[in-house]
Amino acid sequence: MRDAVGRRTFLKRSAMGSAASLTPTGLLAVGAGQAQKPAAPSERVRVGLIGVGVRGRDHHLRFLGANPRVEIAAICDVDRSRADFAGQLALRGSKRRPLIFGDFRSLLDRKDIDAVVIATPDHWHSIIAIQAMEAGKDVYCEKPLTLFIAEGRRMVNVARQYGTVIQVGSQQRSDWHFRRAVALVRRQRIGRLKRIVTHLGNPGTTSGAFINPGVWEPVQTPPEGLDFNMWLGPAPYHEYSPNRCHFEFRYNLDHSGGRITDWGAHHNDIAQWALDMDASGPVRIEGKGGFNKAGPYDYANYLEVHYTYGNGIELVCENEHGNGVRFEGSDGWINVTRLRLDASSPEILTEPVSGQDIRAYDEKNKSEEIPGTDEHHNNWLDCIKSRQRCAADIETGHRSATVCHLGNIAMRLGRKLEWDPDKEQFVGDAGANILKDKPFRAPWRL
Amino acid sequence: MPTTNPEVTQWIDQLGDPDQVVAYFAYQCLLELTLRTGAPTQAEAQVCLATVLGEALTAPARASGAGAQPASFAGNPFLAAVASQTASYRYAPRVRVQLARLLGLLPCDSAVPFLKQALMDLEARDMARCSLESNASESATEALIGALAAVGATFLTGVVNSLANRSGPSIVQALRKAAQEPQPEVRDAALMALAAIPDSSHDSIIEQAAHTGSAAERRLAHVARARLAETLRASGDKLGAAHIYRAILTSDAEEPQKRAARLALA
Repeated sequence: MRDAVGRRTFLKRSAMGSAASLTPTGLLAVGAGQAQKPAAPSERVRVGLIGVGVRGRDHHLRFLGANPRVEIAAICDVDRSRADFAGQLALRGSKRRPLIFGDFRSLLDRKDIDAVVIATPDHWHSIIAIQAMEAGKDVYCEKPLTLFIAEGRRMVNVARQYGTVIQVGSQQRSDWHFRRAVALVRRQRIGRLKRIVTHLGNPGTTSGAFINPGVWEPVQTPPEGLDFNMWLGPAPYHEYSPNRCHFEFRYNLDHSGGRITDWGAHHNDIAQWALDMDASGPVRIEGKGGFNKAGPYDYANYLEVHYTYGNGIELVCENEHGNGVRFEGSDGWINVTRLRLDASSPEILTEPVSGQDIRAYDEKNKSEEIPGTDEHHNNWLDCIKSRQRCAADIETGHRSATVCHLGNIAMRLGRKLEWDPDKEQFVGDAGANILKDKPFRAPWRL
Repeated sequence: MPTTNPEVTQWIDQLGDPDQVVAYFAYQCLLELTLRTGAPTQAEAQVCLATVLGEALTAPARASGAGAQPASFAGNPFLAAVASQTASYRYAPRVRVQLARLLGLLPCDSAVPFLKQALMDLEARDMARCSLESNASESATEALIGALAAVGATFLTGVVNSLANRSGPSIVQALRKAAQEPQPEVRDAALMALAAIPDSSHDSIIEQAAHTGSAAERRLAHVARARLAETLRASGDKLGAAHIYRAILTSDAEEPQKRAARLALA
């Protein structure tokens, strides 16, 4: 039974409470979603959006702006034109005008904001998330949670210390197709699991790697209204050119992990979940990647990484054969994408799964334009109220991102690596351990 | 002694090529070589590559080349001092930054002397500082501590941040001194760095800062205090952590820190 206590009321009560209510949310334990009825203004979660590029605007503002349980109270972006445009959009259908900021620290200073959504480039996630948590905000942080491995543990520790409700934007954890697939695999409907293959190619295709070498552009003055130094933040200094900034960040390894973190944070996350490795990871990694030496994008546009877990199961991550996750067991296989769920035998899928195996409200997700999106937001809002951990809690987000980073490191180094998932360090390879961390440009720190 | 790939010096020269594609290609080749040379079996090659990269990083301008000191300032003591303290380098700033960055990827002490020297290079020093942060050796620690004598609040903040990830008596002494810096951003960084070291005696320094300075500085000090409590708890000093958390509850810390204290003490 859900406690009908508002967030602010909860925070007052928590003066006498404890962290005991923050129980992990596993496959079978996620509660039903809140009905979409308008909440009283005092019960709405006042959200600040930090980063309103394509993802922050067309995804989070679009869905959260229409969610009756949310008030978009503030918008922040280092590009003033983007912030103002998103503010105009947020104003539609709302009686309250959102505050507009260029510096996330000013937004975090506001005590009338309950929670923030972080949809910045990856190199900013950890700093903003930690400062938000220390300012008492709950957090929704886009995937991949991290740019490098070491910062993830710091984020987890701060979240636990402050009792923060944090949802990582791996929304496939709230997608009907993937939830059912994971439930079936974990219930051994395909027998003993032997291998998982995550395909990170273009969605909707059956072949062809996502090869995008980029286009060289001259260094130029940043457009008016863009604070490019702030956009770079802790990342190494670069002069401005459009092929690095905004949406293009994902192809530059100073700002992102490239394809393997962009899509791997979704599909490798599903693999980790099916393997019941949400608090662990692989023990051996070997990979090869095609890094385009002609530039300007430096990410691996071709990749094939082989991971081995302690239980002997292999995870193969590649980007040449479509987009989705394939589970191979001793008695069959299951293939899952955002559009469909297939199996080696129809009975595997038609066999009923009890109501407790998947979320009760999953069926309505089938027709969503972006499966899982609204439910992932709603799960976050539910948890802000209940103070439970989210479907994609920060530990799972950290571990899933780690799997992706391990792949990048293995491809870069071109040698077999051994990983200790408990100590979170490479075994006997000082050179690899250097790559777990990325020092920040001054003056930034975690 | 292994010899360096003869292409290395060519790639270093190409880092400054005006053609972006040529410069990028050269960096990617050097990056791949550096990362693969970092393998556990490549100790000798690491020394060799560190020397080549380091010598290029710190190479002075050729006498007749671009960037050489143009004139004598005899008779003008100030300009003579400017000239004597302005190092001129063979390679452009962007190239030196890339070389400093590559040196940070080599897990060997041999990179440190060059990076230490680059701390005097105003255009490459922050990347040299980052690379020293990545280097786990004692000599890197000493170089970072020495860099606290430099000028520039942003750079010094970076140095303190780099020291925060290390431990040892010399680090603590340096951070305690930095906590007394007149420049607030350096002082704040030192408080956060001290909070990352499991030593309950740091609380008195941080607590003192929570009563002085601007509202933002006081708030940061309370955050640092909560961080120190968590550092102590994680290191097994639960009594020390509880003591700080109880003090936070009775202080003028903001609600998030008090909430963290209540969660920890429950």
